[in-house]
Amino acid sequence: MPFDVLPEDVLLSILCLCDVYTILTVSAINKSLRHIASSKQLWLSLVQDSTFRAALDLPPPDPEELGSHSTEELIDFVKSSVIGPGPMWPRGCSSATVTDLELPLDEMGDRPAFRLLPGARYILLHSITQAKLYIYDVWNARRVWEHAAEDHTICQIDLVPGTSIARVFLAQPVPVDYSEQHTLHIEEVDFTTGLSRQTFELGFPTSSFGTAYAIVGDYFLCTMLYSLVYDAKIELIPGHIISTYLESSATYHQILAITRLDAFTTYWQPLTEACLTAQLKREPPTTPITVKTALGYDNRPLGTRSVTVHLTVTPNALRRGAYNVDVHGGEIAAPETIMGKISNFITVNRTPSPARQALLSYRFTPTLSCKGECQLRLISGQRVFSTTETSFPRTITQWSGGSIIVPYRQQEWPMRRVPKYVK
Amino acid sequence: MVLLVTSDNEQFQTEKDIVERSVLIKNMLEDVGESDQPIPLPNVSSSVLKKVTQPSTGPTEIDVRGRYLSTASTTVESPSRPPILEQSQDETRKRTTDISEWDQKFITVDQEMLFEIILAANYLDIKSLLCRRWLQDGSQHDQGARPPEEIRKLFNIVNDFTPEEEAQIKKENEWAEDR
Repeated sequence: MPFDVLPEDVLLSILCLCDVYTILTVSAINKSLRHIASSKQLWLSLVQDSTFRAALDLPPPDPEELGSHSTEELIDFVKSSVIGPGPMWPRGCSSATVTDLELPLDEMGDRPAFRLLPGARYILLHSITQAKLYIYDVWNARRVWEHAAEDHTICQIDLVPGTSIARVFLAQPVPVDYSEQHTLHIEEVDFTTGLSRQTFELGFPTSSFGTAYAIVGDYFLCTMLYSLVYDAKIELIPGHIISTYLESSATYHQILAITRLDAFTTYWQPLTEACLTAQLKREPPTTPITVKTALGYDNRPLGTRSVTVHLTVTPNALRRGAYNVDVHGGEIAAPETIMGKISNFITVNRTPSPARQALLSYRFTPTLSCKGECQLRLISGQRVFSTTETSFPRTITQWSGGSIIVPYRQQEWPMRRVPKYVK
Repeated sequence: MVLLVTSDNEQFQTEKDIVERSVLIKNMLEDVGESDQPIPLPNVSSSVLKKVTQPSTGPTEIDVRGRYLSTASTTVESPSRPPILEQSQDETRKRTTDISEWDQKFITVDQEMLFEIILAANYLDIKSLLCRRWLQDGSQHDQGARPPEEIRKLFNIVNDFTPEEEAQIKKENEWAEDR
């Protein structure tokens, strides 16, 4: 049966379920597929797709406004969204348009602590005076959830993709009643109804609460005190743990390592207090590592004991299921050359050279099958001068007298002179 | 139970909640109401219908991909059923990122069968069956999709671009390569 038995509308339906990278690939196969892959309906659905927008922290789509553009302009929009808008400062600000959304919080009293959640749609607030946690939907300035919370409550949230459901992980490392009991529990919240129910609770019988917490899908991750190797950074994504740590060998290399969660399968057992206590007393098993790479730029290792390494993991906007892994850290200076040693004698007052920092961007593609290997690929490495230059988020939040302002930055569309939604 | 009759006159006793994932059959059942009458599917052969309604080979013990299996969320998924028979489009978008073992087996059917399944899915209106797996290697490839040359070879598609056009398209799409 030849390929062209499939009618155009069926192919279009299939493409509507694909990611941008796949569609661009299909558009390069032949003329008829290019025609289908250039349909406006397809690109309109892509630019409004919530997964695509969440990966880039884009503001709520304006269907009418987007609909007024041609396919070429929509492709251009995708391209400029993925490439831009770059850092807010010190430069690169000029070509960005900013959409401000305001969240009035008059009833809140004091300024709460707040954190924009991945995807830049929901914001988590912690009001100490009210002893409550709140989640607001920034797009329509609506409170979607509230929950009693003590002073030091740790809260991590996993937004279930494509739904209005979230898993909220709450931990109370500093017990309120000064008992030896620490608790953590997980709530499942429906943002449309504001209802939540507890799905899991565990009392921690030890004082060994660690510093890293994360929840993704059906997994949550808590580190226990002293369980981490020196200066480790940890991120949890579906099915994998991504981490950087200092290798405890003579080389002291910073390592980027990825571990499949199913590598722990043999250790899994029902999580109860007694079982956890027993496990903590035992020597922990060594963490199996699926992929690892030594971090370095220009033949110089990245990070030493004294330099902090930053790890950020974000979903890739073009390839569904892939992740951008960015590591930022200082480089160790190159070994001294003979010439350098001589010049040390000659110039007495030598000014130290500025710290060299590098940003390494990797793409991680988890395997889809059980047997295949994950792919970790270095996409770019560049020398940078400061963290703000590279890893500054696209969307930041500001407190302004009783309300929170969320400015969404987007690259200006090159095709258009005066964007309609510029404020 | 619902009785389905395929194009080659074979009869299938199928559970109602499985067949109702097909919007076509669901609407038919609603129009007709409770009845023992068989539903004719003149565009679907028995071999294809078997594929579309077959149960999974069994639940996997622990889902390693961090999938949501809670009964409370909207993403509930019975492990004893092929995951791609799900109905919601939103869910399909989410689910295309994790290919289960069942799907692995599914995409290893021969090409002719694959096209027939796609056509049947279109006719029966099972949105989630129309997914992108036919474009994907499903395992070894780093890219989201195979390169155009590979897809051409796989499906015997003739490249009707001139070398200049091809170079032009490659240049146009270059920005996406290292992003």
